[in-house]
Amino acid sequence: MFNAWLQIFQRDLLIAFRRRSEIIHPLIFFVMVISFFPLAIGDDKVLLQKIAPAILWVTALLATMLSLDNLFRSDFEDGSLEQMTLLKTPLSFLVTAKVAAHWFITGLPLILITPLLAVLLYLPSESISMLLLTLLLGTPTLSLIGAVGIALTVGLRQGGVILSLLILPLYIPVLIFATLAMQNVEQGFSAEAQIAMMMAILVLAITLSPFAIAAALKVSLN
Amino acid sequence: MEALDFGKYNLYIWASYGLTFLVLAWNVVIPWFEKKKLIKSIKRRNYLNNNGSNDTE
Amino acid sequence: MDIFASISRLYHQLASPPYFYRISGLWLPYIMGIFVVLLIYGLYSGLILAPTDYEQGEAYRIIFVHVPAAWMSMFVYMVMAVTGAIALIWRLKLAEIVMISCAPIGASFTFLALVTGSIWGKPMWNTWWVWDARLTSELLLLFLYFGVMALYNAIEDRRTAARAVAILAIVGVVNIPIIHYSVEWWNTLHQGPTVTKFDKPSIHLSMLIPLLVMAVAFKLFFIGSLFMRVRNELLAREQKSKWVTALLESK
Repeated sequence: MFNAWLQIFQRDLLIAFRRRSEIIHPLIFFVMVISFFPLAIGDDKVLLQKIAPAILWVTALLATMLSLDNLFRSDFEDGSLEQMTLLKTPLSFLVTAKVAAHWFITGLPLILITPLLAVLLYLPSESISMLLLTLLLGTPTLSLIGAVGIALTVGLRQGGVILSLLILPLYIPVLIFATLAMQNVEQGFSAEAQIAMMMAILVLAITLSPFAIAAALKVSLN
Repeated sequence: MEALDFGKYNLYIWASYGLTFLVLAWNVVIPWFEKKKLIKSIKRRNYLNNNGSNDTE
Repeated sequence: MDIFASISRLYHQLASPPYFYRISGLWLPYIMGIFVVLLIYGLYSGLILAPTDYEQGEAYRIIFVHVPAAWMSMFVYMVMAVTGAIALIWRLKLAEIVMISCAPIGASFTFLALVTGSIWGKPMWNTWWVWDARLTSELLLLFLYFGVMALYNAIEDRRTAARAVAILAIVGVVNIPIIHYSVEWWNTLHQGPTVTKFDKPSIHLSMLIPLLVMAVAFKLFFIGSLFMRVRNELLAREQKSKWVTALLESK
């Protein structure tokens, strides 16, 4: 059972490393959109510092959403997804391998490049560490919730537009807690409560979303 | 009816209750019209199926 | 054992389209009739009988439509999610139809709750909107309803669409406790719980009664509107069947 998980995980990573664009494109999107803000607002250090956590999080969220299509589409089209449903190992367990790989390919690079962008936005270093923590807790949640959405829409023609309509509402709590944590740190208060909530949401997502993802995939494969 | 005069809040209260009425009406009128349309189209299809269409050839 | 057998038989009978169509048709006039009576009484006792509020003056009377609409927005969503679960587990066509018929009704109540709340907010707290936990999560509920309707319309096969939407509806259920408990968990501009607390509600009886009457009225209305939509859908899907043909011949 764990063998199958590992194989799927490694396979997805391998495919991503061969098709570097899967990794690079969301990163380029992230960097470019973040750069738009100082370009559009002008070099206003105070303002940029103030909005930095918010725009970094929103852009990371959007970049994650754009990258979700890679999660199931190629497997859906060439039939490997159907094969996965036929295995003895439960589909809900196997999809976690794909989502984990997706996070490694998308979420982790986002987290790694964030300090650089945060510096570009004049964010102080204490805030940067909280930002990284919220991203570390939040991006896996985004991948998991996003996987439910993409599983529901992978078979549709206009899937991309509907995907945003479906999962952006579900992303809102994650965004709210992450930015609340950042605001608290900025004002000198403790962000314990918000971090605890983000951990709780992550745990909830890890335990429940695999079943939703598997159910949604079976519906899409009809 | 002075009982229904709410002073400076008149506009707000009547706007809210008016909107409520509109929402309730929408939830009744739409299904009602749909049903009439539906029955008409089903009857028409049954008629055409039974009697053949009016096309020549 | 007998009572289970008869409940099971009733359940299976209800799921049959002609039976449901007939029974809902019999009940509909009474449901709507009682709704109108309750509505008139609720409006009368709310707008005329209830006294002026000490703090808020007359504007508080918006509560008699705002709160029932908000309660309905959540109640309808739960009905939608539960019938969605039933549709997923037992593959009942009628459950699928009931589920998707809930969506526009629930969305309209959510819209009503948001707008009446906004209208109430302007004279009272001098703001049309505030991004606090309750208003944000109620807005999220509206988006969830839109998502449900969009996804259903995007999938061509109706049964597949129903199953996909059921999953989405169930996933969105997490929002409902967030809306309900948001005023307890966070500092919000929105008022705290006054009716659903477990000790004595801190609202005066002369205001509580119209509120509850309107709430019951809205629930009956929901059932009535739901029946209308479900009946239409049944007619449309079963139009080639004998019972529909026989029914239409007598019209």
